[in-house]
Amino acid sequence: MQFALTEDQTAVRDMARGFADEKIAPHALKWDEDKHLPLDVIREAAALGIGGIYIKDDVGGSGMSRFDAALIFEALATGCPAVSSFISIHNMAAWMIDGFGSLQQRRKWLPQLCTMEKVASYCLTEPGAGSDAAALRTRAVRDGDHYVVNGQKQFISGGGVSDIYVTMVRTGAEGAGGISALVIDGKTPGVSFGANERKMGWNAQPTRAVIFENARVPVAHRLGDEGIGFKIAMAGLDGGRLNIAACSLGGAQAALDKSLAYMKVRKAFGKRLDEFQALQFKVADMATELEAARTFLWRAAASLDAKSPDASMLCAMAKRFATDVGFEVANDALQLHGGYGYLSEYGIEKIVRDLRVHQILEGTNEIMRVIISRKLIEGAR
Amino acid sequence: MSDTADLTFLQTLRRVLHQERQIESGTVIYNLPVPFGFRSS
Ligand SMILES: Cc1cc2nc3c(=O)[nH]c(=O)nc-3n(C[C@H](O)[C@H](O)[C@H](O)COP(=O)(O)OP(=O)(O)OC[C@H]3O[C@@H](n4cnc5c(N)ncnc54)[C@H](O)[C@@H]3O)c2cc1C
Repeated sequence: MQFALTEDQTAVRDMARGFADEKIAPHALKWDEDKHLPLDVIREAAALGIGGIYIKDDVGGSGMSRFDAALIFEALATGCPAVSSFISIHNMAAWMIDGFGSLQQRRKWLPQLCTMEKVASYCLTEPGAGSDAAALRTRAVRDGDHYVVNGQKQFISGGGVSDIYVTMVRTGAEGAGGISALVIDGKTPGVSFGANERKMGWNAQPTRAVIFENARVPVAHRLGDEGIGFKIAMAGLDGGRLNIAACSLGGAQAALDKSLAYMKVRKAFGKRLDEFQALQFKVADMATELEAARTFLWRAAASLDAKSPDASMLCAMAKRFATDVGFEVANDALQLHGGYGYLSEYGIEKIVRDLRVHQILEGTNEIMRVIISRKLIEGAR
Repeated sequence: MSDTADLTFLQTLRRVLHQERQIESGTVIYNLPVPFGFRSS
């Protein structure tokens, strides 16, 4: 068992952290306020290899591991969790093409996705099917060498901005076995987008409904066979959950670091805040929780890299734990800042707002418990 | 993806490390240019 990062892992993390410090952090508050998606900066990150971290390198990917990705997304999220998670969803959607697409499909889409000249979104959720995603109703009916797609996807990150939508559709009967995955170009006639949702956080990236009205999608754009779309969607989410967990850690670490700096200069009752033992214990607990979550996330990432049979359960556990810890640590950091923490210019309340949604998306933390308990109960039978 | 000038930081890192291991094991003795860090050109 290896607990220290290797030299190359340290280099990967430092590169991403350097990028976050220089190119993301100084602008994060403004992007949040302006609801601006910084695609130019995101493409600069892609030029470093961050657009296809665990995509194979014959199509321009970096060919790195899930573990490396966890290091990168944590580091990027110290600058802005919303930007880091946008890149993480793109990586997840691109990986679904890499993992389940034919050589021809991989060559068609992945080179431009790795450079992020084109951006990908992941479309599973519908207005009537969130946690119960296998109940989705967007239908794709075969018509010659095309599918005719009708339905609506809800809450799609990057909706309206992305070029490519990896979309789970129903091609067969009810239930998970009737679902297929289609790669749909956003410019296809019959594809349209809802308004940019007004949200609590994640303002540096758009969230929109994606609407399909008789959109004709080539059968050649289907990933794998008919009926395996749900499996593809869930496989994507295993890695996606690690990435979102990593984004929570990065945001929370930044909030803790800001708190330590603030406690050094802020005085009350004639003492610096960092001289109060109650507050010293608070930061000790915050750092301990974060370290526990980080160590666990690394274990889950290593298990996914090793394709271990309990990897999905560990990914669900790590997502539940790290996103809860991340939110709590950020909220504690806000408390440590007193009233100033509530003001936007200190940058803490933005982190709290951004991290809140990590407990909801890519499977709510209740659904993580469903996944974990199902596996435990199956194992006990 | 064979032209090293076109490699991203992460691709280069992976190749260089792979090569270092080969150098250590005595199979290869040449070097790739290493554009380390996004700041360097
Ligand atoms: C900002 C944002 C971005 C998103 N981006 C994407 C995206 O890019 N692509 C995408 O496909 N989706 C995306 N989503 C959707 C997200 O994944 C869903 O919101 C989430 O899965 C929950 O679904 P729901 O909102 O329909 O809640 P519901 O499923 O209606 O759940 C409501 C509540 O009931 C609980 N619950 C439901 N079932 C159970 C159960 N069996 N046991 C216990 N509790 C249960 C839930 O945990 C939750 O607390 C995004 C959401 C947001 C807010």
